[in-house]
Amino acid sequence: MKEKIVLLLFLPFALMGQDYVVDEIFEPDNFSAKITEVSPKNRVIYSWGWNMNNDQSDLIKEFQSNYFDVRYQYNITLTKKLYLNIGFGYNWSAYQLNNDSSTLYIDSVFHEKRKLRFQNMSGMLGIRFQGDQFLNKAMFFEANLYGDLLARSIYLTRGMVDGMNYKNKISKLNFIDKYQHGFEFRIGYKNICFFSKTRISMLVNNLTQGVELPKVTFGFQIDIPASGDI
Amino acid sequence: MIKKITYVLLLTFFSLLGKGNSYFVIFKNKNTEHLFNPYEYFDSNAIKNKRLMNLPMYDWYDLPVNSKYISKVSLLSDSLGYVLRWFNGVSVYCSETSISEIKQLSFVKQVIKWSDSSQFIPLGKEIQKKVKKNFPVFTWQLNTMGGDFFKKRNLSGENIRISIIDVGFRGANKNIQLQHIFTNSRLIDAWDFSIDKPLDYNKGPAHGTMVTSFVVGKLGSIQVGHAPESEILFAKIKSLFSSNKSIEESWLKAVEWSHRKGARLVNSSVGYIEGNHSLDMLTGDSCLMSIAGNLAARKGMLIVNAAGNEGDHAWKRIGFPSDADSILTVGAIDRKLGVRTGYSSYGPSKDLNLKPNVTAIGNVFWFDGFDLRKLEGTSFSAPLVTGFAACVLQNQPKLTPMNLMDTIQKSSSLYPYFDYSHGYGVPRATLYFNEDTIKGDNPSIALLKSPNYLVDKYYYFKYLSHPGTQIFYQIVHQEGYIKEYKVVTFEKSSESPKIYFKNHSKGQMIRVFHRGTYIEKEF
Repeated sequence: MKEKIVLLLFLPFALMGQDYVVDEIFEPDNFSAKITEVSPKNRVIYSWGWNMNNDQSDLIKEFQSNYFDVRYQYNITLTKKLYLNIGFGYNWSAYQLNNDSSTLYIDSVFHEKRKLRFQNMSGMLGIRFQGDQFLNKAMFFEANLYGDLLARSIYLTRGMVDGMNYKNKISKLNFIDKYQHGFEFRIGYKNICFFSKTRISMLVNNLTQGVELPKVTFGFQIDIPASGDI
Repeated sequence: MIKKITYVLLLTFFSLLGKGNSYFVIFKNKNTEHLFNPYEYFDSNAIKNKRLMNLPMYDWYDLPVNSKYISKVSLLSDSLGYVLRWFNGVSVYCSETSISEIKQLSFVKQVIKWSDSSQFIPLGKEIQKKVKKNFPVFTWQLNTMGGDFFKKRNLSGENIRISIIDVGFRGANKNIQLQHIFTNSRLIDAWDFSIDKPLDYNKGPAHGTMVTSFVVGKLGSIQVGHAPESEILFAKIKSLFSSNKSIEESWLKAVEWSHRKGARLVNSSVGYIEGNHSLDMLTGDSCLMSIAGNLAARKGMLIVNAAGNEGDHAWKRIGFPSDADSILTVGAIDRKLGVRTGYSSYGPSKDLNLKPNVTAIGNVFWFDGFDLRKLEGTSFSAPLVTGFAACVLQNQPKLTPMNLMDTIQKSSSLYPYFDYSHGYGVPRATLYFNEDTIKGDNPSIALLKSPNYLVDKYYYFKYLSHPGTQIFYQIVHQEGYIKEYKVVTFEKSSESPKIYFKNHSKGQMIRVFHRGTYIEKEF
């Protein structure tokens, strides 16, 4: 029995009598330019991040204030290591507010949890420097200017009244500006990078109802080629 | 500081945007009457080479371009680039409207748009800084090609002039490996063709410096290249910001200049893909650089070009000008495995010419004066072969470029076997001097039919010696191209390994190579 087990264990290895170091098939008909028509400069970028409080304020719970975006970016070659980026995408951003009376958005005083959620269509333009001609093989740095167009805004509250949980959702918030813009910086290696976004426009347009929301978002991104080589 | 950076960025950005289109205008004819004195035009070394190879002193390609044509074209263009005698034309920078007018001129034969220079790339890079100091590794690198056999015979490229065409030679004048070419007056000339000025060693990348080391470098008594006694020409062809020439025209001008200066060999560890050229154009006669490579060979100068590092990218195949059949294209093998590295570009050319022609190690060590560094790329395989070619030329100075290419191919490790990854294999001095202990030995392998072939449909290899070593084999299509090729190591030596050749039709052929034994059988 013991021998049988040993034989079964080693049988796969005994069958692998050959080690192909090179194994190539050549088809002259495949010798075409088709594969080069798709450029590796097309990128799809996924971002995960967090909205961060301004220096001394404690307006939001940072690690519950998530940011996510997906965008398409095209890198136009200027030189081997310098690119012009253009892109568009969609982002989701949430601000989990602390229960602080100084941050009154609508009727927030009596709720246990308060969250502001935004969805934006975005566009960007910027410059990319990288240490190697291949987009996926080098350190890179990008400085981009972005613009967001608000698609959806929600004010979400949760609480408990008379022993019953309740959830309240208000959309189309009238105190939020539709257009936002700012800078984005990305630094990374190969397909992974860190990003930081700084909004320079005001998001809350009626400060009598509250204070301005934090302007900095920080996180990481995965940059996947939409075509061409990986 | 931020202001300064912004200024530089904006300046670069707008200068790139503002760059006009660049074209090459080819004229219908040259002057019918001309005064051309080859003894004035060519360097004395070039004259000597032509006599040695029994070549004509000059031909139509060397005659000057008609200056009246140039003046007329200049009136319609923003600026002119290089005048290229070999192609009877001039490089022109102008708008699309102006080039349409130039096309209408009666003496204009053809207008070509220069390729996008950003696709023009040096074919090597550094992958590791500061490797543990170990200088004997240089001797080992050369001995993969039998370098000690050249050394024993005092063959070191003496009196062979080699032109190194590259993107930059930063620090070449200070690099300890190249000191001897500066102190012993072996550096004949150095020119920056990207700006048409003398070469500045403080500008540009060091890629050319690295490449040159593998041709002529030496550290005391340790050789880094096969040919430390050869004479060198430096031709820089690219400047990132200040270049006022198209990179393709700079390369062509550098080749013409190298010929004029009497170079017998040109090492070009650069090439390009994409741009306005596609894979379908890898025919050796679509790109001016490839045509120049063929012309150079006819005129007595062999260009050794790196195959390219596109093996693991979408392009996959060799780049331009490696597709020219008279250019010796060099692929890269892995230092440890001895077979093609992942990045080394595949052949063949579109017209099914064998490419790469030969291979050499591509993962190499280089000394920057302080640290040993690890580099990789076909960029560094090519100069090892260039140095090898220089030693062969020193031994047989009358060899014409095509004879030299043939000699190198025949002295390669796999010859007469070849495939689209390894060409004829690695050139070896042992084979060149016919002192190889492997080739000429008893057969090492047999290819036998199955005892019951009609039913089993398989052949099998039988080791006659050295089991466990690599076997190269391929199936050749009826039309002559290699349909399929493999390199295989049989790990189990006790059994006769079987290879099934299913789905192969009559007329196809199998070729096998193992340690000098070459077998060819038709199905």
